[in-house]
Amino acid sequence: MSEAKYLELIQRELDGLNSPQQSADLHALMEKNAALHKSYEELRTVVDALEQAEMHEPPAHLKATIMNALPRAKQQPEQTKASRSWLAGLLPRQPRFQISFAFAGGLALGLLLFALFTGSELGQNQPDASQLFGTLASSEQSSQPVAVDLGSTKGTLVVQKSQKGMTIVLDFVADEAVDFVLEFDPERLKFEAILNDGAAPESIQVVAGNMTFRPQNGVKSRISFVTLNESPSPQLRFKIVENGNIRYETSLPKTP
Amino acid sequence: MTNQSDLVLIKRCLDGEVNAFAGLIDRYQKPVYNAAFRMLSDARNAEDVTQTVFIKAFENLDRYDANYKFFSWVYKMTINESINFLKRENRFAGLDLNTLSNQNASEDAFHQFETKEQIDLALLVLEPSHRAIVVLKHFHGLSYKEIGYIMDLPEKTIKSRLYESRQQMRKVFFKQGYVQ
Repeated sequence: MSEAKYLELIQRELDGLNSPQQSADLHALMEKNAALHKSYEELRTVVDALEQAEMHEPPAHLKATIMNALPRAKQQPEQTKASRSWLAGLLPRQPRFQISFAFAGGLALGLLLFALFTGSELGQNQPDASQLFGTLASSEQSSQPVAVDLGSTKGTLVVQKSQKGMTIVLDFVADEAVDFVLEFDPERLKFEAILNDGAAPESIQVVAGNMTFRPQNGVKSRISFVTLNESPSPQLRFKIVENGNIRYETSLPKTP
Repeated sequence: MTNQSDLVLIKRCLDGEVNAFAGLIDRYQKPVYNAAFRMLSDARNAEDVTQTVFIKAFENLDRYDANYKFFSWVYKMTINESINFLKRENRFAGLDLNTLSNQNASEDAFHQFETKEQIDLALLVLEPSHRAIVVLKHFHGLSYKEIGYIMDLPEKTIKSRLYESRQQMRKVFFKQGYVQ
């Protein structure tokens, strides 16, 4: 019997797949062949160690976090499918025309977005300088809103990415006093500013990789960070804390 | 816990009863979280992958093929999400075995190889697609056939990769002094 065959018999023995006869033959062989016996014992140690490893308990809030995200998650693909089929009807059939069409469409969309952005955000809704804490990065790309519903605290969070960094937009209503916490790696991200559409939040604290503030009820907050190190793409940890207990926790931006 | 009861919960979800999905989360969040944890060796990232997997499962429930077990389908998404995560984070290659230091384990350690850090270290040496096979086989007790479905690979390939992985892990154990 070849060495490869011996090894296969050993692997099958480890998986409990050998017949009683194959198992007896293998053990008889190992009694005569010390090297084979050693290989078996070493692999047995590996397999036993793996099978004795304990399972980890998932975080207690995980189920609630998933359930909170579900209704919105259910709606998004339907919207995407609808917009795809609408676009598909407009596209020409030949690939070379599709590319030209896509380029022209992209250019038109870009101009439209630029006009909208400069008309409404910069021209008409200039932020009150008294609510500005630092300076803000300009936004270029927004994530889908993530809905959070904890009963007494509910709202949405959006991540806007820019060349400079990212801005987290928090739009929440809270019946109870809660703290928002943003944890980040200070070697990869730097807190830059917090801007509010209404009253400024209370007790803003920024210490190393941790930014905490108590939001004003119903006030939208924009918190911007500058990227110091882009590889790999930096992430933040967002938490809603009530009386010292974590009610909600997620990473931002969400994994696609 | 039968496959039938999974199907009942899935049907209730598809009929618009979103809360029925909580039953599936209760049932599978622990194995999904653990599979992601073993793949990524990080609790927070495992939590994120678990969230993503369940949300995607919910979004795609109408595409679930009842010929396969629900947990196999969910494990498939977990492994794919974990591997994609590792690619995005540029952590796709396994640890270089040569960078591990040589150590001499004590006699006690030789007999008590449950030290989870050592197991995690040995897993990290494996490239993710091999690591997934070890995780599914040894932590979740799946058959070669089930692993083949999850990994989209023939059983023969699963077997050979599992054999290679065990040999590679044996080298880590040897380097760490747990096998001599």
